[in-house]
Amino acid sequence: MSLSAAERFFSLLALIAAAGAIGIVGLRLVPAGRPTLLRLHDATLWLAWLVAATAMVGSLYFSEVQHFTPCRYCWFQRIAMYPLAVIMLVAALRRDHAVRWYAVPLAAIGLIISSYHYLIEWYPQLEGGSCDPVVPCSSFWFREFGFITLAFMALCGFAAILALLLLVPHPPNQRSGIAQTPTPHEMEETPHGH
Amino acid sequence: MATDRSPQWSDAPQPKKGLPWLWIGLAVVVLVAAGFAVLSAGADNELTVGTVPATVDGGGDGEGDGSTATTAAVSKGEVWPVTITGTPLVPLPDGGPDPAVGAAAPQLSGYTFDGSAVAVDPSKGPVMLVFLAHWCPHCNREIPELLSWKSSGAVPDDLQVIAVTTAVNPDRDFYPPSQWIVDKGWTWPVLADSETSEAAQAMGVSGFPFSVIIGADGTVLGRASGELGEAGIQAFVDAALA
Repeated sequence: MSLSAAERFFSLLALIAAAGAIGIVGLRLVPAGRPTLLRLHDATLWLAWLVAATAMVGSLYFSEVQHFTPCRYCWFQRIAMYPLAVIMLVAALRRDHAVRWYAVPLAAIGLIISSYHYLIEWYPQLEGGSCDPVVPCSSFWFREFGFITLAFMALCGFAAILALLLLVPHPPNQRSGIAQTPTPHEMEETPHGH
Repeated sequence: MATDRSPQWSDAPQPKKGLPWLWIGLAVVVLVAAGFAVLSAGADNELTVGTVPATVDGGGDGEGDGSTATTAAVSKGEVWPVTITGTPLVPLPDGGPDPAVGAAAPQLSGYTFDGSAVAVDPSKGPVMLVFLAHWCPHCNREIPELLSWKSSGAVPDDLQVIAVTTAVNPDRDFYPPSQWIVDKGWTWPVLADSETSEAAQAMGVSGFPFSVIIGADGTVLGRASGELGEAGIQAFVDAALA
């Protein structure tokens, strides 16, 4: 796949993630959407992992294959996104919905940074008056369809993860979190009752 | 702490086990996106290759050679060797006085995009070198300010203004710089920096845009980094030439 094809492909994936996040918000706002969201519940951890893993793969592709040097804000977003790809996988395997206590702060921090990064791409004067000669954050490698940059892609990814973890409700007969998976200590205690 | 606090609806339907429709739908959407990206980007690439060579093959002897429509051939016309004599200037510090002011500036010569020689010769009058990167948003904002300053008639008659296109990167926005500088309406001479931006390094460029004013005696009269705006440019030039 050529560089321009890759840029377009990942841009389309970002739009899909953005559409998913907007869709979840929309379903959450209307009563008729709630049953749909409940059916989605079992897949939220895997979907969130898929978003994070795709973002990580895309990020590594552009930096390691295409040699796009990440700027300072890019690194901050990586710090937020890469751990998500790991902990969401573990959480999905364990069906541990309490992961949101750890994942939501990371995704929220990433969302804030990527929003500011995208903002200064449009308004570089917010960051100062000059470009770093090597990797200025206000400069972008490409702007697909006239508005999709790498910062925008990260923004979509973080938004989708947040929507999946925060806005998809739990079914009434399910408890979320670590309590679903007994710890070894709890397993020892079980025969004696509580 | 592990207890879920998200809303629940007791009258909602029970969740179904497995969501094959979701994963199948996602796979289809991703495949369609990949197909669209490959097909549409392929069409864009053909268009780009067909429009580039005529503007960048100047100075070479490969006229009519269709094999030059590659990234390597484009780069050859966008960057040229520069000749630098003298001691490089220290990078401009973020604040405080500029230690390079009063020091002898390196002598610089090179070529413009079509291969014509460009000499930086302060003996004919002070020279203002403006280092610009095609991908730099601040440079893109500063160029109209410089052109407005020129059209205002406030540019000293003996001041030679020369743009130096530097930090050229085929992967970044507004490449190639030869076309970019034309599109921006630049009318002063242009010197194309080398592939490794040797001219910028020699002048101690610390950020883009970057201006250096060299006096008739060959010494640095002033340096400035970042956007100045039309009034700032005028003030910078007035202070340097005072």
